[in-house]
Amino acid sequence: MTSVRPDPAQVQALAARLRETGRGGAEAASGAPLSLLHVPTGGCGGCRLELALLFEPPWDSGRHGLRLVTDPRHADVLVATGPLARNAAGALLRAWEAMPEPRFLLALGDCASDPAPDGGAPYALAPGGVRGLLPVDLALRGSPPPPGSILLGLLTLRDAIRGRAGPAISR
Amino acid sequence: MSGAVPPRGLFPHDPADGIRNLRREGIRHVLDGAAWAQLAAELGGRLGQMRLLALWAEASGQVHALFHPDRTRPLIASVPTEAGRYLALSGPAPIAAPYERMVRDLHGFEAMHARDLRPMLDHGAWPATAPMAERPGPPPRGPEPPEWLPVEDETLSLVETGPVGALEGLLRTRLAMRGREIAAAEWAHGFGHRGLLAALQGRDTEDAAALAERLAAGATVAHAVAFARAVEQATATEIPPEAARIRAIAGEAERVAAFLATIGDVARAAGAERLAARAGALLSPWRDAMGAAFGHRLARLVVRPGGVARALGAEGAAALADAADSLRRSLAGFARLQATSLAPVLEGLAVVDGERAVRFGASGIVGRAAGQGFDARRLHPQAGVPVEASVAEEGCAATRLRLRLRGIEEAAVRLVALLAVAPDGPARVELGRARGEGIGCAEAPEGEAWHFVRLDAEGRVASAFLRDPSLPHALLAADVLRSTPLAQGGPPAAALRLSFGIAIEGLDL
Repeated sequence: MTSVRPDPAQVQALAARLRETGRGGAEAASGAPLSLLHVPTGGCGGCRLELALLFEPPWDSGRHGLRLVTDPRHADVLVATGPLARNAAGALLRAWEAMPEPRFLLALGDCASDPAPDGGAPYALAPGGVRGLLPVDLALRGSPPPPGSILLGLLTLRDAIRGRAGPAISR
Repeated sequence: MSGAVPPRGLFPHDPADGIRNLRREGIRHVLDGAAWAQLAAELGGRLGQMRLLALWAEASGQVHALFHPDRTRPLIASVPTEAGRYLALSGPAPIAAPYERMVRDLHGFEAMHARDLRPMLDHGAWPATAPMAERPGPPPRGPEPPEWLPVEDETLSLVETGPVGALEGLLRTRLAMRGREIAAAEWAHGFGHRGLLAALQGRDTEDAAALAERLAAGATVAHAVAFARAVEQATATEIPPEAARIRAIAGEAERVAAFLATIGDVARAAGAERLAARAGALLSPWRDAMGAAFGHRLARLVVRPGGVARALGAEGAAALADAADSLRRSLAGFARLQATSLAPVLEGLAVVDGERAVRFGASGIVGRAAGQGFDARRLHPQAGVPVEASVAEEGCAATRLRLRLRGIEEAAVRLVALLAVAPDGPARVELGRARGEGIGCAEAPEGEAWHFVRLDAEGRVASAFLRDPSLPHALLAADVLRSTPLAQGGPPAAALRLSFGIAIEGLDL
C-alpha cells in the first residue's frame, strides 16, 4: 500500500502539455491554493472515499496548497472518477465548461484513466471513457489509488502548473 | 435460507387461505395474474407485514418481488408480464415505486396503476430505451432533465442543486422552501448508472463477484458476501467455518470504516470541522490496517464464491487487532466531542418514526434508530461470536449518529473476538454444481444487501439483481425532511440527508 509517484514519462508529457497550451507558470506560481472539484463519473465511490481522507488529518492537504470546492466556477482542477456513465457525461461537460481558464483535468483511478473502461454495460458507459470526452492532463492508476499516491499525483500536477518539479511530502 | 416449500399456498404464516402459486421455478413461486392481483390487494391489509424488499424483472418476461415476511426466510413471487404489463405493487406498498420505475427504464415493462411513472435511471442518454429488454426500444429523443413532482403551492421557493457538488456523489436535489421551513424535498439520481445488472450477465461466478462487490465501495465486503451467498445457494455449496470467520472479520472492519466516514461526512456538511478532522484521523490508520490485513484498503477481492480468497495472515490479524485497540482508546473522546459539537444541532431533526421505518422497509442504522432491531448477521453462523447491535427509538439525525458511534465500538469488539478464534481448516471450497438459483443477504454497514442470481449450465450468470440498502433510505430522507425547519445557525439540509448514510452508487446500479 505504498504511495506511488506518477511515472516520469507521464510527468514529462504533462509539463510539455502545459507549455504547449500555455497553462503553466506566472498566474499559477502566485502560491494561491489549487482548488479541486470532484466529479464522480459513474464508479463505485472508492476513489471518493480515498480522496476525502486527504483533506483531514493526518494528511491535511490544505498545508500543501490543495483544497476541495463544490462549484466549478471556483475550481482549477477537475478530478474525474469513474468509467464515465452516459448519464454523467452532460454533468461532466457542463462542470468543465463552467471552470475558468486555465483549467486542468485529473483522471483519478483506473476507471477514469482507461480509454476503454470496463465495469459496466455498453449501453450505459460512454465509449472512450473520460478521455473520449475531455483532454486528461494527468492519470492516476489504482482501484482506488491509496491517499498517498493521490497526494503525490496532485502535488506533481501543482508543481507542474507552478513550473517546478518534484514534490516532497511527509505525512 | 434455502426455501422449503410451504405446504399450501405461498405464505407459510397463513396456509389456510394462502395465495396459490402456479409452480416453482428455481427458488421462486410463479403466480398467475389473478394470484398476483390478490397479493397486491392484500399487501395493504392482511399481508401488510410482508416486508417487500425489492422488485426487478428479466428480459424473458417475468417480474419478481422479494419479500422477507418472517425475517428468517426470503420469499420471491414472480409473475409473467402480459403484453409487457404487470400489476403494480406500489399502490399498497409505496416502496415498490422506485423499483417499478427501474423495471420500466431497464426492461420496458409497465406497472399498471403504479404510483409513479417517471423515468428514474433512464435520463435519455442511452443509445436505446429499455436496454435490457429482449428487443430494446428506439433511441430516446436526447438527454432530459429530471421530472420533479409537481409543487401545488406557488408561494414556495424552489432551491435546486447538483448533480455536481453533493458530498456523497452525483445527485440533484430540490427543496421547496416555505420561508426557512422545508415544505418538500426530492432527489434525482441515476447519473452514475453503469448498467451493472446487464454487465453481470454471461460472466462466470468469479468475474461476476468481482463486479457485484463494486456496487458501492463503502459496502464492498457486504455486497461480496451477499453475492457469494446467492451463488452458494444456487450451487448447493456450504462454505467452511474459517471462511465464515474471515468474512465476518472483513465485514466488521468495513463497518468501522463506513461509520467513521459517514460521521465525518455529516460533520463536514454541518460545519463541525473539529469532529470531521477527528473522524478522518481515526479512519486513515484504520484503512491502512485493512490494507495490511486484506491486501486492499476496501477489502476488495477478499470474499469469493465458495469462501474467501486466502487465509488471514498472522501479521494482518495483528495489524487489525492493534488498530482496533488504538481505535477503542480514542472512542470515548470522540464520542464526547460528538456529543458536545454535532449532536445538539441534529437533535430532534429528520425524525423517522417506527411506522415509517416499517412502511419504507428501513434497515441498518436508519431502521435501528427507529426501533427496528433486525440484523441480517443473525441469519448466518458467525464463528460463534454473538452480534450486538444497539437499537433506539427517537429516530432523529442525532440518534443515527449515536448509533453509528456505538456501532464502531460494537464492531471493534466483535472484530477482536473474531480474531481471537483460532484459524481452523480451509478457507474455500469448490462450488457444488454449475446451475441453479439463489438469493443471498448480508448486513452492510447501512442495512440489508440482497443479491439474486441464476446460473446456467456452464455456471455463468443468466440473470442477477443487486439490492443496496440505500434506496428506501433515500426515499425516507426526502419524506422526513418535509416540514423540517432550517434554523439560523442550524445544520443545512445536506447534513440531514447525509445522516441517512445513502450510497448514491448503490441506487444508481
